[in-house]
Amino acid sequence: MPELQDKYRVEFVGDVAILRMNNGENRFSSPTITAINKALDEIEKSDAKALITIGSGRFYSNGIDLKWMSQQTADEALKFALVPLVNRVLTFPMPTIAAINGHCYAGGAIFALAHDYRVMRTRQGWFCLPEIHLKLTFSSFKHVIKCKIPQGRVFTDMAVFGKRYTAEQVKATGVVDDITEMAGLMDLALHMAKQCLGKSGYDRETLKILKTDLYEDAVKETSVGNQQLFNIAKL
Amino acid sequence: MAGESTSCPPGYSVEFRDDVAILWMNNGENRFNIDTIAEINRALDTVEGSSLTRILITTGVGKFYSNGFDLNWLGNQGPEINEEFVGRLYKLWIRLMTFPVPTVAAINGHCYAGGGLFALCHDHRVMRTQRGWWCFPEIHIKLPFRPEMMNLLQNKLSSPAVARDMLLFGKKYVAEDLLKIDVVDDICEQSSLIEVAINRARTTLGKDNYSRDMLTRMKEDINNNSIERLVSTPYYQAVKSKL
Repeated sequence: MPELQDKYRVEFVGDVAILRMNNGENRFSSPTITAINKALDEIEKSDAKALITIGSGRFYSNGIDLKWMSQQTADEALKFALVPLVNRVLTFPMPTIAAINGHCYAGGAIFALAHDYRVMRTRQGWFCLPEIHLKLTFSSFKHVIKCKIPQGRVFTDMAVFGKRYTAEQVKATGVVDDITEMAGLMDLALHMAKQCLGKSGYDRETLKILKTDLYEDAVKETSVGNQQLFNIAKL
Repeated sequence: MAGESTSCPPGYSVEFRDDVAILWMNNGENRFNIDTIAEINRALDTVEGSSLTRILITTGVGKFYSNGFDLNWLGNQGPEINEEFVGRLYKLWIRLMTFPVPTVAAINGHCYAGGGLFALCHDHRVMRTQRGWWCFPEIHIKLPFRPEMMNLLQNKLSSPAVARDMLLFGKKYVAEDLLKIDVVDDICEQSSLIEVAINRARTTLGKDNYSRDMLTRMKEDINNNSIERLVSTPYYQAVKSKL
């Protein structure tokens, strides 16, 4: 779908690839996941050394497209590939930075957590894992959450009790690495990419192995063939 | 007392100061191979055999705490020796992690890769300021950790962000950085390093000391996850009953 692909466009700034999600709430459905994967394919084929993802307007991503999901047959719902997409981002063979430009909820927050780094704009937008409030479990994402969110108080508040965070609040937890006003967000993300890459960047294969081992449980849980169907019946 | 011992014999030796045992590593970059592991184990035997000892400090001499595995030597060995090396290394880590007295790594200089792992197997770390990098350079030299090593390291680090920077992206740290992320407990000038290490151990010892048996069992329980991973590898199993 070329019009949809347009809403998930890739641009390059030096050796940094930027995936811009410009699709309203940037929710995940099978067509939008296909568009994202196509963009990631383009990035992997290029010489890019780092990946930044960013939304547009008020949303980074609000998670799964529940309305679309409710219209799918059981078979179609089974093919919904958010779990493999999260796996792909988790083990992406270059440093990844989620530039959270706005609301980052549920599946959108999990998508952001799958990145290596997170930066967020101030003054607008919430970061939240509201699953408890929606009576949903994390199912195949519970290890992603465990390996990216610090144990103890932060995990209890953020993952178990679905607390809502402003940029300042989420930075204090360590889950977001840095924050700035919206106008400076992309520059901040580019700066982080540069700092991470250093002089020569990283060997893709080695980085992929390291990520696979570091996030071992999350990778296993989200690998193809190991997906759990979401409890969509409850929606 | 001076932090450095200029009269320290070459190689690996143990010095006793009252109830403190200091394992001096005076072997250049203090890299790990089958021979140096054996020497460290002999030194640890000496420490364990001294019933009055209540604290173990390990430290290097000169510019290096330890630069990790002896890659030059390893590169010249066949696969069997490589595998034996890994097994004996895992045994040493487990021994250190469950050592029957409080342990402090007094990091006098560069601490890279396997050296960092060795240091993390201690109860505490203190580090000198102004010289010496701490780094896991695996990403830079394209030599990934074995999964069980990654698992051990993760269990020893305080947060996902630290694990990311340190283990994935091979960031270099100085003493002040490590203090901020709780990888070391104290930092000081080199001349005070041993004293600071001993003080840290004494704080941990408290008034009542610990039964060696209880301390070992407690350390085994707390490190259970890492230990099981290491023990279940074919490398460990192959050397399990070797001396």
